Amino acid sequence: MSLLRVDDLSVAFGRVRVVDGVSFTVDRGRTLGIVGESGSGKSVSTLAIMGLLRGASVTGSVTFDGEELVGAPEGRLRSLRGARMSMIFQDPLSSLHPFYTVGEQIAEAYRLHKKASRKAAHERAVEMLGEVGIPAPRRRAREHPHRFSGGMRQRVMIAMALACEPDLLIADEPTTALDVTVQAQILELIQRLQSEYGLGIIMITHDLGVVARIADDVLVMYGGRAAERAASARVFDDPRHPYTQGLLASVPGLGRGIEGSGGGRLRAIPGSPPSPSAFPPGCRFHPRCSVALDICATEQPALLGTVRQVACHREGEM
Amino acid sequence: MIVYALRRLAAIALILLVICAITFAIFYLLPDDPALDACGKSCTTERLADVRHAMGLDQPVLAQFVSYLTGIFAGRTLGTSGLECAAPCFGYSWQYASPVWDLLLDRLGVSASLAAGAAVLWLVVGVVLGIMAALRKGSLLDRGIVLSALATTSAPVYLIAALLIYFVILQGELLPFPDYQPVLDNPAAWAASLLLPWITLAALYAAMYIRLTRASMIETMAEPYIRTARAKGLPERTVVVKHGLRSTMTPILTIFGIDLGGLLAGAMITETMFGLPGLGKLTFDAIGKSDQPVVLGVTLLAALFITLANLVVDLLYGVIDPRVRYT
Amino acid sequence: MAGLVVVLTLVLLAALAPVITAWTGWAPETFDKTAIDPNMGGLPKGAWGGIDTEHLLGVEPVTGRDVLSRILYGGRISLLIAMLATAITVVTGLVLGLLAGFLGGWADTMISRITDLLMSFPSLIFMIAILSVVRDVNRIVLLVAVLSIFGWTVVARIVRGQVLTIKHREYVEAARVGGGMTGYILVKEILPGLTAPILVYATQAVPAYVGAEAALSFLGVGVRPPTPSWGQMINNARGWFMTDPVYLAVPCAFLGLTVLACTLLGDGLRDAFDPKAVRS
Repeated sequence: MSLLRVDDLSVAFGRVRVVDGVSFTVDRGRTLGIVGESGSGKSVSTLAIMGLLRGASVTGSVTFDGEELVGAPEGRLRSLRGARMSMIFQDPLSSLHPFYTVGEQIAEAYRLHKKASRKAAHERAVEMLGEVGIPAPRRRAREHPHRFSGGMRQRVMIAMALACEPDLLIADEPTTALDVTVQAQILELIQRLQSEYGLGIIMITHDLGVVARIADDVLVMYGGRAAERAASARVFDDPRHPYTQGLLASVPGLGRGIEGSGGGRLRAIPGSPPSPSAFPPGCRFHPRCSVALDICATEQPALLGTVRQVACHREGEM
Repeated sequence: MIVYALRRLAAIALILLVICAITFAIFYLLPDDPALDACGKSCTTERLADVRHAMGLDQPVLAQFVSYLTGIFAGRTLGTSGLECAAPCFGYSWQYASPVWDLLLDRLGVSASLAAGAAVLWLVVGVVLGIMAALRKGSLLDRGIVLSALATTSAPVYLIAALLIYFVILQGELLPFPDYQPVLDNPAAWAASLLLPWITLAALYAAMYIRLTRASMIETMAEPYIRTARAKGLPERTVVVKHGLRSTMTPILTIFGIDLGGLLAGAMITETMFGLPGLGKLTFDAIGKSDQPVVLGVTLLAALFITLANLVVDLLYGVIDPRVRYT
Repeated sequence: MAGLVVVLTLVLLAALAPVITAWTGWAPETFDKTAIDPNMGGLPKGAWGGIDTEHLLGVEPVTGRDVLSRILYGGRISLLIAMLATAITVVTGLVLGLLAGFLGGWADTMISRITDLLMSFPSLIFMIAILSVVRDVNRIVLLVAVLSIFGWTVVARIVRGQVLTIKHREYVEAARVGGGMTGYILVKEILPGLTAPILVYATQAVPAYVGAEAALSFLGVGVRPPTPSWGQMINNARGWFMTDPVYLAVPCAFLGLTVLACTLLGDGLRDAFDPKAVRS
């Protein structure tokens, strides 16, 4: 049984459907990379899983360790959040409360979920800070977030997320705001902790380099829908959706599976991603697609396939 | 932090000195002669000179200023009148035949009671309603609160006071007309005499605090760290109270300090409307009678309250927000 | 934009005061002994403060002067003082803020110190003190001057902050390198950024000054009779409100309406501009 199974998940704010029928699974010890530009619905999908979207209508099914979460009472979701599924965010400075010490912030969830004493929770916080590689953890636990560097803050976030030993970690662009060298360190840390705790991970990113490095499976999202979904190696070696191909061609050193992308020439995808309030009809990628057919403008392509799934009218002929 | 506080206190002393000098100069330069008032109706030129001499008004302005300043710290004898004015001597009111300091102390209790009670009322009402409105942003409740806050801010204080007096005292006969009693003598009478003034003053300020709290709370609740708190599985009450409120209160604290500091020296209109014998009423009467030592004394006391309130707020900031560094 | 409509209506009513009073036939100083009841201590005849078709907002006790006419003429004084004071505050604050921001150094220090000093001043007490001792000066000019002394610091601080941020932005550097004159930078880059916060400030300052004028006149140190102003009418009505509450309510209502309309207008303007930029 998968740790997390998402089936036909849709999210709408009022009349605007931001996520439209997305499905995927995450297993223990494995990493799913969700890739897409801003507005593709990747963050919203994961916030919906966590039950953190306010004022949105969420439909479909989210099964976490056999338990249905869509429509589950808020109290039940709350007891899972931070205990069995955790989340880390893009900007660790603004995601940490400026007025509380990092020790207090890490201990808070542990005290709540494990019914631990203040002292035990503090010990746990110090232990976690050491675990994520922060030197002198006992001293630093008493400091406030503004005294930490960007990379160290993200380590604090990770320590906070993993304090209760959750099964699932959702990482929403955890390295985007960091320097390149620090990015690598954080990814290494996440991988080490994954093998230590047997974590299932959802890694949201627009950086294909990150996905190539860490993900076992990849879900490419465009305009709130799944464009392509397969094992990571397949996607990078043989991308099938024109959007995936475009993404790979725009990143140096990754476009090995695409014809004509040799010689290091980079190509950007023309145009910009559509706004959720004005998705184009048919295939949402067709206005920017270089190989679009007439049918692409009118009919939505189904996500087809077994080992790999692609939503494109030209799948099979290309 | 102690060095910072000391430096700020030195700056406050300097500011007070300048304010004292300016106010003193204005009274000296302006044609209003207090000796003329003290001298009475049948005043001859010689008698006026005697009075001026007795009051020390014939001295050069600088000498008068210096003796005023010395008086504050060491006390002094007033002119040649033989009147002793013990430290801290803020001059002598010829109208009340009393040292100004005694008058100030006497009236301070009323104004402090008025300010403190009103402050508690408006802070509680303002913050609670502001938070309720912010948490249910866009709802009917929110709109109701925002609209009534807007209406109350626009209502002139005279109208609020007059309406309260008219309906509660005259028509309803629910309360007697305010007759101030010190809190230690008779707490019930103290509260009864101040209830309507408290409501008047609080209505004036609460509306502003509602708007301020609401805006600040909405901004805070959109912060990423609130999302983090929810992602930890904290109950919504903890998210709002522990994570939201502390940040929300920072800007409100600033305004609160300034408002309270300003009010300690008397709410002139409210005290006048209700006939409360506070510092505001004292100032109002003193101005009408050209009792300049009293006006000067109240001005200095008010400036002291304002500057000290600012200092306290700045120091509290450091307690609330660890990012603040005193330099 | 209901605020804008009400503000414009009030300004228009005040501006057209002579026309309107010519039409109603009651000048602000005309006594109407027929509208009051000498047996009732000079109270207006009829309920509701003597409101009837002749005197639309009632009459003053004892004298029988027309309240509508006094409100209109009083509004002229109140609004004139508020607008003049706002204009002076904005211009002074703008000039001093620009000086502090551009020159820096001792000019900046001086202006910042004066700002600190003025903000520690118990302004209301001080204003009352000056107003009570200065005699034989045009009260309106004096009121405007006294209100302006304490008002400009807010504008100066906004302007100074804006100049400092813009001064270090690349495009101004670029304009300098490109040989642009300081005056050009001023007009082209800095002033447009200031329109929004200053406009919003002005919509808040006008009702604040209307209120301050009323407070000072109420305390007896503002506009002197026979010139009518709203604050002075309220002061006058204070002694009558137990027997003739309408007489107090009418000027209060106009005062409140002005403040409400200006606040709505200010909120509307704030939303129309970038809300983040204005808040600071």
